[in-house]
Amino acid sequence: MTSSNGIVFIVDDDASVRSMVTRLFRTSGWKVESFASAIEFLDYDRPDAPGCLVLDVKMPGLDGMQLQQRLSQKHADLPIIFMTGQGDIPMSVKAMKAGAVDFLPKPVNDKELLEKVQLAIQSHANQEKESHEMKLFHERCDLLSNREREVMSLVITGMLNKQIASRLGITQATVKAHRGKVMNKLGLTSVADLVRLCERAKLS
Amino acid sequence: MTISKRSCEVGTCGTKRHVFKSSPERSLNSTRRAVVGCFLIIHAFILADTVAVQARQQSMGQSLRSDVSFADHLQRGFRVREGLPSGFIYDATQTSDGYIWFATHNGISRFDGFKFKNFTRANSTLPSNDTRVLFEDSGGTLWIATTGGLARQVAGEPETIEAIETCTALSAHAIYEDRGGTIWIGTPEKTWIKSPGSNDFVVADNSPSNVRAFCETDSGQMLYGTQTGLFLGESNTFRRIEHERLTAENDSDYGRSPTGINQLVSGKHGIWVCTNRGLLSFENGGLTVRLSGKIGQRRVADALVTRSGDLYVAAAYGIHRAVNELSPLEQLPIDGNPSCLLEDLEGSLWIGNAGNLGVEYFANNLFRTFLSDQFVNCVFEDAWQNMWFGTRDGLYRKDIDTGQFERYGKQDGLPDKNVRTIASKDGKTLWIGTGKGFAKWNGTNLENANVFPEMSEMFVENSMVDSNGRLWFALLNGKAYRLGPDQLKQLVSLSQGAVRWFCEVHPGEIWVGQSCGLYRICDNNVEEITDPAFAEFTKRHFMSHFVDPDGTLWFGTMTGIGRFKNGRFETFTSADGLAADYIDRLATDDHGNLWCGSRDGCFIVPLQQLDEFSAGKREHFTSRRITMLPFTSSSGRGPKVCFTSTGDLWMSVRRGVIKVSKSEFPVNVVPPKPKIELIELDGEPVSINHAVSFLSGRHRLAFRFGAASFLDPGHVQLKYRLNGYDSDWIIAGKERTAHYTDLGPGEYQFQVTATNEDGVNAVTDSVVHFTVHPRWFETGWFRTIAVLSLIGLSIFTSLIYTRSVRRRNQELQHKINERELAEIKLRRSEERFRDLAESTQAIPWEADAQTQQFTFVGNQAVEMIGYPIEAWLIEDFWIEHLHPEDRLEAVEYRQRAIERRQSHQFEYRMIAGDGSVVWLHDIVHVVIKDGVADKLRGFLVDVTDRRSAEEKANDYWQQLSRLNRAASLGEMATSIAHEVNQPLFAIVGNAQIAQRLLKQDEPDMEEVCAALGEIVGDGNRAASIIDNIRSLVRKERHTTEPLDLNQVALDAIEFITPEVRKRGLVLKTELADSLPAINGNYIELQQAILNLVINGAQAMGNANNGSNELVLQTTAQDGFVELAVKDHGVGIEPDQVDRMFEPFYTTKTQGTGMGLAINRSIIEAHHGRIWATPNSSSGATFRFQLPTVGEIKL
Repeated sequence: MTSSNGIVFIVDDDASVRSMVTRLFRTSGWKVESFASAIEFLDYDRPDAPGCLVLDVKMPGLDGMQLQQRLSQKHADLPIIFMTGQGDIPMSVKAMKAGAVDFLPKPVNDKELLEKVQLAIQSHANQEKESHEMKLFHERCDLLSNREREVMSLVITGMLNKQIASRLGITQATVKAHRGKVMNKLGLTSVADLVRLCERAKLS
Repeated sequence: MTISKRSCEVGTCGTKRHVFKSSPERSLNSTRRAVVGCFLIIHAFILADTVAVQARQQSMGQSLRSDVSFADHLQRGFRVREGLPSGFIYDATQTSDGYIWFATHNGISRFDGFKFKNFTRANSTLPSNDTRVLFEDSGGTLWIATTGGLARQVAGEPETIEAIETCTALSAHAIYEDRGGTIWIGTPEKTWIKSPGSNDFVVADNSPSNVRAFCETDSGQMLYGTQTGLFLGESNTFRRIEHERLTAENDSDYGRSPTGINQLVSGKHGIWVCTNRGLLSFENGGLTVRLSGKIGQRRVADALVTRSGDLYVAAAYGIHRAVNELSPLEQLPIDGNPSCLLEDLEGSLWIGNAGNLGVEYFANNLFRTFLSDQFVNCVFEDAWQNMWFGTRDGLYRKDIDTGQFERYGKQDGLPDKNVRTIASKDGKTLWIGTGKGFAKWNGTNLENANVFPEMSEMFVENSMVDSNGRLWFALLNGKAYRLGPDQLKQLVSLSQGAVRWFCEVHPGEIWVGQSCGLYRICDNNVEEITDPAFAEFTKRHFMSHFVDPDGTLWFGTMTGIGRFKNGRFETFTSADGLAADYIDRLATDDHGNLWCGSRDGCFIVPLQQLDEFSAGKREHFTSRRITMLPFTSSSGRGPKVCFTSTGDLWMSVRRGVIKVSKSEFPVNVVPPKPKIELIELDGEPVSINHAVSFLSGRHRLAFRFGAASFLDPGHVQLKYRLNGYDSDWIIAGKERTAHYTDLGPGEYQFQVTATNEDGVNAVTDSVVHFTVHPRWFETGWFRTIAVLSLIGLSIFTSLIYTRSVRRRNQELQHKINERELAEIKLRRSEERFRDLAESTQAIPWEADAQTQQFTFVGNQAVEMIGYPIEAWLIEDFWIEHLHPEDRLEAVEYRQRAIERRQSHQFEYRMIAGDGSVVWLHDIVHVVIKDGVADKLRGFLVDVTDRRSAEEKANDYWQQLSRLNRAASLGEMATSIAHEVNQPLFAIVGNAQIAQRLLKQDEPDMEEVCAALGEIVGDGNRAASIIDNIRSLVRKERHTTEPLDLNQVALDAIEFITPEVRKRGLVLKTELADSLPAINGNYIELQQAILNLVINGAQAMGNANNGSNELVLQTTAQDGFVELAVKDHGVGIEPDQVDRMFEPFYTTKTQGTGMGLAINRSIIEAHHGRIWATPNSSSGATFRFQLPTVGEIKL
């Protein structure tokens, strides 16, 4: 039902609520870390794994919205789901604008909360996986020679070997060799993959 | 025996100034001591010498226990209010003379458990007030590092501090003594050293700069902790010890150097390195992360390895502990920003805090608390040794086998959840008395035991089952019943007062303790006990009782203890040696001690001493206070205290129930260390080291002294003696100064000794010698001349005297004539006075002070009250015609006033001749003859009209204050909703989880049980929040009971905190350690406190003065307790001070103007006063004072 390597972080000042939410996730098979205040969470040495933060809005000291701000200042891309007992529309709009995944009013439906967290962790994991893939792609691109890069930029526009050869004024056999090297260096097997990665690299 | 630091350092540790390492033998000893400790405490009186011997063998206390819940430790806090010079603490150390020293940013402070003595630039030669490190070297010199240089305390002169000129670097941050005796000083630039034997500091070769901590490794190399990392000294150089955390690239969001080391502490595995990036361990020449826990990369300021081998770590915003220096590190529930840690000789833990938070103190406690969130009414042990507890929220049973608490509520067959009393004949069938009659436990389950239908409406207060199996019980309304096999009989011959207990001393002989008397019932005959030995006790409150196995009946009253043994009554009071007179818990143990619980604490009295006292063999007996036990309170039904069959003591206290385990009675074995601190001659301090000598004459000599002891400093007894002047020891009491004047010539010796709370005597007394030299006229030759001149003078005087006698005779004759004239004048004046007395509307009277029988009453009495004059002059007329409700109080009040020989005024009601009630104001003058009260003279004024007007006004105010309570509740509505919603949310969530778990194929039952358990807990929490609200709006009459103002304040705070927090404010409490009881109405006082806090919070909402702190403070003063609420709000104008307590006067937009007006009416109804003063900085302080019990002027 859940991926085992995700961690749910819970920050709530009310001990009863904290213990209940912790139990909810624990019994659903998640790893859980709970904190009684935002400061405690900020001081915590968070491991490098996909996760999701379930956060109470109203807390003494730093409140949930302020914690969200602090995290975004630190460029921590941890998805956040807010729980609140006194939620109002302006507050939830503000939270969603600041990048919250969701904003659930208390009492929270347990199924809904579990689903939302599952989705958030999944997307966090995907996001991490993709950014890893992109990083690898960029590193490998640096290995290409100028000519190979030229050939690649034409391949992805859908040109045939023949057209490329005439455009660059080289023989078809040379184009083929360059093309083979490009695929080799980038560790790809199909042109379709190459096109997809290049698209995304440009986008990002 | 003196514990010198060196003796401990040699061997294993030798690192940090206050770290002692425990050897295995010592921990073994301390375990054994805990076991024999029980025996010791029980016989503490008789065996005080044994304790002292034991103490001399081991004068260090057991370290803080890690196997009990941290909340069960004794805790104290010290702030500026207690005497600290500042709340910013940088370091703490205990010197070999026992004192604890604190380095603060406003000088250093010395503490002996009793008082703080502060040293700053103003009263000493301290180079700077910003002090950082304190260190006592092996020679007993205390070194003080400040940001302005180094200083030291002069050996033997506890009050003299000198700056070290040779080493006046800009600032010093570390002091250390290595095993060779060299002192090391770390400064921002260089490291300085002082070799043993030398007096000068020199710059050390080959050491890094900016050293914050030193530590010598086992192999003798010096380890330097600096601002830029950790370095290891080698033969001619030093090298950096690398670790990934100690790199400059580490981002620094705290503004501290990422490579900074704060402290080095020797441990079992190596040296603990406290860094700005967590706790590291230096082992085998490298750094590792041995323990982490929640500390992570937080700043670690200090660490401590206790004598029992546990590691305490002061990290940013938390104290963490690793038992035996092994993983895992757990965070302890201590708030604060700790900066330093110290274990004292008694084994207690001291935590100094940065950030103005002062010092926290934790010590091993005597007892464990259970059910701490419940009001426990009664305690009972059944035949299978299970413990039963009746609470306001159900019946609890603690299973003997599992140790678990099991709760029984309405769903289990209890008619009501408020369980008041438990009674049983054999411990197998239990009668459970509740707010709606009885239930019966038959060994397996509960069944309804309301045999007669009317019983289910009865609110039971007390019960007992006699040997015939009949149930005796009493209700809250004072009615008492006996339930036989087929009849319910009301006991009508008892007085109207509340029944506090029943007991059966011998079969068929039932004793009943009431709030106004003691009764014995034999064969349906009710007899009030009026034994002459017992006369002062009759009509008193009989609060508690206990029956010994041998049939001795004990009873505790408001005025002492009574005993009925072998057909004889005896009484014992504080005048005979009881530590308190107000006894609401009472029991004897099987070691021959009587345990007493009172509002002033618990104490025990050895029965042997009581017996000797009653046989006339001794004049006094001694009470030993168990000050570590919490106070009890007069509430609670029966039985309130229980010695189990295994010898453990269970006792209900204010909240919850405590258990004192037979095997864990600790004794403070650390002897106190008396010390003469200062000698002053005519107000000028003189050196203690040099022999003091001066000429005799009108000199004032003062000795200031103290004795360091921390577990129970209030009960350390100090004694002093000036040998050559005092014939015996003088008990110092609370004094810490002895004054002498006009000492004659001679040799003197001033000596101070001390005994701690457990009777352990000081090992060495503190002594100073001095000489007083004779002046010229005190020498022999001068005296001879003086005697001769005296003889000449007396002859001359006798001649003059005879002449003057003759002249005096003539004068006397003249005076006799004058006296006759004066008598005529006096007669006329008396006639005028009589006229006046008989024509005014006040009744003049005169009565005998001892019998209170009227000897004269003005004629107005006939018309105003309606009895003939002759009736007034009959014995006991006054007492008999007092209104029954006022009788006890009025008689007691007058009696007290007569004892104090004090003229007084008071008001009471009398029954007039026509049966109506008359309010009288009595103005009484006590006439004193030969030092005793002889006669009373006074005036009675009829104030019935005024009183009835007041009563009407009171009704009106009560209505109004109920409205005000409802109004303030409205203001807090969102907060209340939030408070209630939290537990409800948790309940719903837990229920959903339990549902889902149960649907699984193999449900995790443990988790389900845990979820259900929390549902119950949260349900109770929600219910208690609602109860709290309901009790506020309920209409109640002004009834009073003895209350602890601290408790009322705490309950109010719990209620108001969410509201204060909602406004972005912080409510800080500074409650007195203990307050004397006051008589008051709980709801009204809670309302008064709520009003003050809301008032303060609103004032701060209208102002922005930088601080968001609201302070609630309680203090005890002479005869009063005071509560103050200090805000940083808009403050008050001088012209508002008088008007602000008037109704409808308000300066705020949202106020009704009623809060303070209602407060004034509440406080005045409590005979107190309320007022406001502007603060010196910003805002205002509102405070009220209430008289303590026994101080109320009627």
